[in-house]
Amino acid sequence: MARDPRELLQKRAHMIARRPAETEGASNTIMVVEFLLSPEWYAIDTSFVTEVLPLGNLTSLPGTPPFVVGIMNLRGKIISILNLKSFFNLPQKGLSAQNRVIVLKHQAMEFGIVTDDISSTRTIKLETLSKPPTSLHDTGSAYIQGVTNKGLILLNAEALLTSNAIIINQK
Amino acid sequence: MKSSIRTSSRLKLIIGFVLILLSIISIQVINFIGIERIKKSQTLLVSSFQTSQSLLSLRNEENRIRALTLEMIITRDQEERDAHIMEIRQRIGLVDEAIVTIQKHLADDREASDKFGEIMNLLKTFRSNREKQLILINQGKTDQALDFALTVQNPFYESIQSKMSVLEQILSEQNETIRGQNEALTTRIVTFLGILGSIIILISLAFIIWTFRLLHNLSLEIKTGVNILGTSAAEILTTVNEVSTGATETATAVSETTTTIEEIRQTALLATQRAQAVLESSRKASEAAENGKESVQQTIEGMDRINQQMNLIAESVVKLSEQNRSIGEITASVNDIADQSNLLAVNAAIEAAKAGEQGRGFAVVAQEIRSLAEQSKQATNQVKEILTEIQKAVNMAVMATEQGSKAVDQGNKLSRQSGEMIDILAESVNDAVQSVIQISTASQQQMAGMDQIVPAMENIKQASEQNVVGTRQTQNAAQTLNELGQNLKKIILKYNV
Repeated sequence: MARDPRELLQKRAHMIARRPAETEGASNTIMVVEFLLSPEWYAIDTSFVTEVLPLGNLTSLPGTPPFVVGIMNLRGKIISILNLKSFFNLPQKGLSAQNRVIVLKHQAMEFGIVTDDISSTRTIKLETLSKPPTSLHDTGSAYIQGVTNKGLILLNAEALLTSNAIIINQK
Repeated sequence: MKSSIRTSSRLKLIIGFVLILLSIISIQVINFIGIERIKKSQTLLVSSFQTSQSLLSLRNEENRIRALTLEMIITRDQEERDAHIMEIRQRIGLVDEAIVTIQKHLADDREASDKFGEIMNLLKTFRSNREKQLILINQGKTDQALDFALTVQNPFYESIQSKMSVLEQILSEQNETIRGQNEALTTRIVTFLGILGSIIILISLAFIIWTFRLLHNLSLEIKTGVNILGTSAAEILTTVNEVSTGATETATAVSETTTTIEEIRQTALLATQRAQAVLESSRKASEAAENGKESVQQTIEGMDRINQQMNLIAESVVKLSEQNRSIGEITASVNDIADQSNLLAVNAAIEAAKAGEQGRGFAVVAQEIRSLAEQSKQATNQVKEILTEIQKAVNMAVMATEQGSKAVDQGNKLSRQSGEMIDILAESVNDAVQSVIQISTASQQQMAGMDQIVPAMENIKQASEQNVVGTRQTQNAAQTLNELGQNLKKIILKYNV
């Protein structure tokens, strides 16, 4: 704690001045948002992400499938909030203001998914991705693009956003 | 018991003698009464006999007078007549005498006197008729007189004669009965006296036997008594000797007691001095107790002050705890802000990514904001940990204050208890002082008593010396007693009853 503030500021300046690594090369990298569906960490392509926000003002709806937890007013726009845990048949916990929402959008389809936490954005090389584990549930495997070497599960946002299961329920 | 036996024996003796005496007296009395009764019946018999005699003479005289009267009628001779008159007059006097005698004797006998009264009535008429006859004779009317005698006087005379014989019969019967009664009485008295005499003889015999046995028993008892007396005298002699030695022992014991009393006196003196010393130290203890009481009071006050301080500390600790909570709340809001900053950074990064190459610099800024948010979150976490530590410390402080408070209470209680103890101690000391005073007076009284005992012991000594002298006299007396016993024995042997 007793660090010299001058030294700290200098270090930060260096870090900011540093050029980002030229890793994207032949557009084989994608930027993802890391999020937690405990106990696993997941990732999703930022190009489908509108924004992230804390879970609040959630209104639950009657007569909806279990994976639809409710609707939310996002600056005057009503979007539905899905719980991927119930969608993927994962063990669930109660929801609170500590939960975060990632708003996804693809063409006309827009909805939010509930996460336990959001850590940060990062870039992932697509070559490093490996096939999803076969033990995963059948319904889940269709929406998984791959798993990084650090165990981060990359969701297929397009598949999710265009999924018939969701659309039918959207009716 | 012995005396009662003696009196009873004496009583028996007296009763026996009195019984015999009474028997003799009763015999005498019965004798006297019998004799009296025999005498009485004898007189009765005599009187009855006299009556009979008088009656006989009456009859004789009347008979003679009648014969004379008849002779006078027959004879013519005047001289003879005069002689006859004379004789008649004489005999009438005799008849009167006999009548008087009979009347006197028959006064008690009603039947006989009634009979005699009838006879007397007839006789009166007969006599008056005779006077008339005599007058007739004197006048010379002899025929007339004879006729009168034959017709009137003769039946009269016959009737008188027959009544007289009846009376005689009665009298002789009475005489007979009296005689019979007399004889029966005599026999009765004789029999009664014989029975009474034999009873008296029996009683006397029994009494004599009893007396003899009593005397025999008495002599036996006296014999044994004398023997006992002899042994008792010997025992008394030995006892007297023992008493004599006892008296000597008493003398030595008295002198020992005197020395012991002197020792006790010394002890009592010592006790008095000790009691004085104890009194002094008791007073000191009392003062110490008083001081202790004051100290305890001060301790209690000090404890009260400590209690107040502890209360202040507790209040401060509570305030500290509240402030800690406020800090925690602030830290929580800082944490929230950091979280939101993080989200904002992520959003910024997403926006930057969407902006493509133009957004690259913004992405770096967003990254930096994110890391700042991360750091502030870590810092808040550290603060949280520190706050938790502080809270623990505060809790411990609260507990410590509570314990302190309790300890103070305990101390207070203990102080009060010690105060009470000291009070009790002071009371005990006061009691001890009272006791010591009592002991002191008691030992002084003891000393006074000892002073009185010394002359008493002297008196005992003199008494025991007198005892020795008395014992000598007793010895002599016992000797005499022994000799007396021997003499008695001889006497008993001599009068071997």
